[in-house]
Amino acid sequence: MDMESKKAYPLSHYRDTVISYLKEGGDYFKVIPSGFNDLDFIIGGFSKGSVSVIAASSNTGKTFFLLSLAKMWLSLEKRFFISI
Amino acid sequence: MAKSGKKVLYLDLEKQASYNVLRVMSSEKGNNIYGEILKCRKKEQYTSLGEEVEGYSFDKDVYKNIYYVDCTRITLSEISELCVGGAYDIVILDYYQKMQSELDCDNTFEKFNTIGYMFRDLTVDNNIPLVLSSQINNYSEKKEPMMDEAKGANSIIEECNNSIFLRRERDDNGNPLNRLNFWVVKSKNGMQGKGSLYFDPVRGIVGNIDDRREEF
Repeated sequence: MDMESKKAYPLSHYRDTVISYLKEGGDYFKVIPSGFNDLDFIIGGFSKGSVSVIAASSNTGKTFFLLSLAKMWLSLEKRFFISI
Repeated sequence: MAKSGKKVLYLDLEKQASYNVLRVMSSEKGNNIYGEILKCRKKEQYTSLGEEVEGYSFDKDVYKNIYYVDCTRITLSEISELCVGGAYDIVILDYYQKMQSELDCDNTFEKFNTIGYMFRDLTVDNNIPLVLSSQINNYSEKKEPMMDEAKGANSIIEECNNSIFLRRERDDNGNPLNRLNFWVVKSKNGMQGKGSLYFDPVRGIVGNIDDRREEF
């Protein structure tokens, strides 16, 4: 959707855009699973437009966690999480 | 930039790309090359290690789809420019306390507060998730982590959608075990909880315990 547009439209104006997003496979709304099963169960994956903080003291394994997260998600087959 | 397939934008503000290449080599080959580098003292040792890793390839598709910006100083505007047009599916930022603020801030608290709000703008404007790491004080091993443990990061932890604390499990003598515990103290869907992950510090691999059940 055009986030730069400052003009107001009735909500119905955006209906067709949403339908086209869904027909294209829903990528616009898809949640990114972490690949860590227990974590995904609690947070439901990383939804679009969200900020997630991984907090830990030094030498805990934050960087390894983040690198593994990237690798695991890229290795996952297509999933069908939809976040609204 | 047109996107084809899944892509990750990875920014490490603490270390240059070469260190993470060594980490990935360690995880792929099962020997702690990252640790070996730190032990090298003589030129011949580095040369020998270089010859050893020369044959390592990064042919796996996952490494072609992790895009790394090799800089330790970046602003949110610069990250936003990289994400224009849905270029990436997810942005991972290692050690957000090193982010540069584009605005004049009187103190650290104000800086992190400003950056926290700007992170939200970045993710909403580009419709992407952002996962960032934050260093916190060495909190007590005995108690569960609290929101106020964060080191200058309280504002982002309050502002974010999901807050996850990590801690290495230790034995009775304080030696770290191959288990990484996590606590979700805040999540977008309102759920909280805790769990454990498998962690191999030599290979630098974090994964599901179920996949390594035989080791527990």
